[in-house]
Amino acid sequence: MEINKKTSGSIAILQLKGRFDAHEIAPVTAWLQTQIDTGIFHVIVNLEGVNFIDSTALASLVRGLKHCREKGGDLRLCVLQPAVRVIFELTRLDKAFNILVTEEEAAASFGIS
Amino acid sequence: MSLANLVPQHKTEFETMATVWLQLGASSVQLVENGSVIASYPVGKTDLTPAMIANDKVTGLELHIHNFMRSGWQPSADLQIQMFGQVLNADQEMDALTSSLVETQDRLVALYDLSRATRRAIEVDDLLNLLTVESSRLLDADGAFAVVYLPGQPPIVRQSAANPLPESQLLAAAALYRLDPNKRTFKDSQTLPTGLRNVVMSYMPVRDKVFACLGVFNKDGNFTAPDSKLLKAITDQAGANLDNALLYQDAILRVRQDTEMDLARQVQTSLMPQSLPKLKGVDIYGVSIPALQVGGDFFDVVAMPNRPLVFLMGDVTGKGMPAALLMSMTHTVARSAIRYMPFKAPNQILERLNKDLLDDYSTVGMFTTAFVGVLEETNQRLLYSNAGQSPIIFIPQKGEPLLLEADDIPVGIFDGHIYKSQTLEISIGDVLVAMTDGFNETRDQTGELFGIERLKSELVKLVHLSAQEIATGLIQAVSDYAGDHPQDDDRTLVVLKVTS
Repeated sequence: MEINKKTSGSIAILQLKGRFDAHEIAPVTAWLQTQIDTGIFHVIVNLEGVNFIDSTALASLVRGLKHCREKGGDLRLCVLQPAVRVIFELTRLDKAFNILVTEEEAAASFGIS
Repeated sequence: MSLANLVPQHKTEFETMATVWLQLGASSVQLVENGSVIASYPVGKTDLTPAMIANDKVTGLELHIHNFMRSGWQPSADLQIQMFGQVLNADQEMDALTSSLVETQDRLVALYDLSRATRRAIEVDDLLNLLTVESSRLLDADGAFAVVYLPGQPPIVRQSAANPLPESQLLAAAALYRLDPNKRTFKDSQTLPTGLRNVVMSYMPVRDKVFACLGVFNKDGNFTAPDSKLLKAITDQAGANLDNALLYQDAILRVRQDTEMDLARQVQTSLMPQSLPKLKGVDIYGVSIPALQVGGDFFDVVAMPNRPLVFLMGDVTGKGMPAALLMSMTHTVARSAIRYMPFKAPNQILERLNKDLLDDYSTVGMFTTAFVGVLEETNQRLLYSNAGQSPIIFIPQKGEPLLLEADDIPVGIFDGHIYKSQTLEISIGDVLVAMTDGFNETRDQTGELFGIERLKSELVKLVHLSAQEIATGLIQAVSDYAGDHPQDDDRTLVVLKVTS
């Protein structure tokens, strides 16, 4: 899986590409933890390039979501491919996350930058 | 190297030579090397008068003859100093040869000891420690290191040095060698990582896809060709030992993983109901087939007198022991909630699970999907609550199969989440099949998913059978579809059929 990290104002953005599963979560979990540790609680994970997501990867996003919300921020998702969107719908995690259509919309939705 | 220390051994020859010159009238004779007097006769006598000088071009030795008045001395003096020089030179070469033989002998003995010791070291760590300690000692350097690159793992780095260097520097040195394995000795301070003055490295021949090398660093002077050859002899031998140690390590790891998997599987299977209730008007069957790498699937069916039949099933995220342990906690909490709480609504069971387990799930960063069904005593209505569980398929006797989508997020995510209950009117012949995603996410040889639509059409074919036969038929269909593709995830299902 390819990982691209960037920031936009006080929002940290992670762009993922490829298969997002149990074998790939370590760098994502570490990145999320670094954001929390450095006081960044507004996070976007762009799943545009992700064609598969498993339950362990979902759990890592849920963990990030909880940590951000505990600190008054949020972890928002954007650009879900149909196969990934279905997983979020079947598990109803689409109700847990704020999911936006584009990265720009996701960034704007925080209303801070 | 000076010849002066060899002179005492040849004192007699020098004195015989000098005596002749004194008898012929000279006042004293001196042997001079690089301007320094290394012997004189008579002993201790120095003449300041100009001397007649004969020299040996090979060794640079000079014979100084003082106060000699006769002519025709030169050829004889030249011949004498040349012969004396040759004798000293031969002596020096002999000494050097002897000490080199002794050193080689020492190294051979040490190498033999090392090779015996490495054969006994079956742990990778022990072997690398032994190799670094001994190669640093044998090559008379400040330290030594070993680097082993295994595919898909961080490199193993071990070193033995009075002043250890940072691992990054050692890895940088190994990378330098890896680029050009023909160049073993590095001494250019500009190309070497900080802290390394000079280094000699040699790779250990091991199995494919593994690169391992041994390096010895910081020797006074520089590493010589014999040093490099000795290190190569060590690594050629050590390669086979390292290969064995790596195989041993793999075997240990596999046994450990297998043991963990066996335990996880035991936890999982021991918690599933060993027998299912036989009830009037309802045929219920459940089974869980763990994958090789066990997941966190669970199911339970609880039938108590004068209480509605309750069944639940779910899938804890993750795999292996962590998932199996959390699954067992979830299962226990759910069982006690079903048995000892005075409620009938399935959403209350999920809310209780969420309340009791949220902290544990949050701590480990996991959650569980779950489906709870409550069959009213009349067998005409099924109440259910679905927290992210999929697929749940209802096949009415009259009508098309229906996917009962989840209404709520999984359990263990948000504190105080309110779950919904739904009501399903049911009648004789209707079948409900609650499954984990191990069914629809089964892939065939080409990687294509079994999917929910195939599940529906298979179930339509099986629906006239008993609950157990439906379960067995569906498992067979999915298993046939997968072919030789190994089962990636647990497959758990509960089949409920309304009977007369």
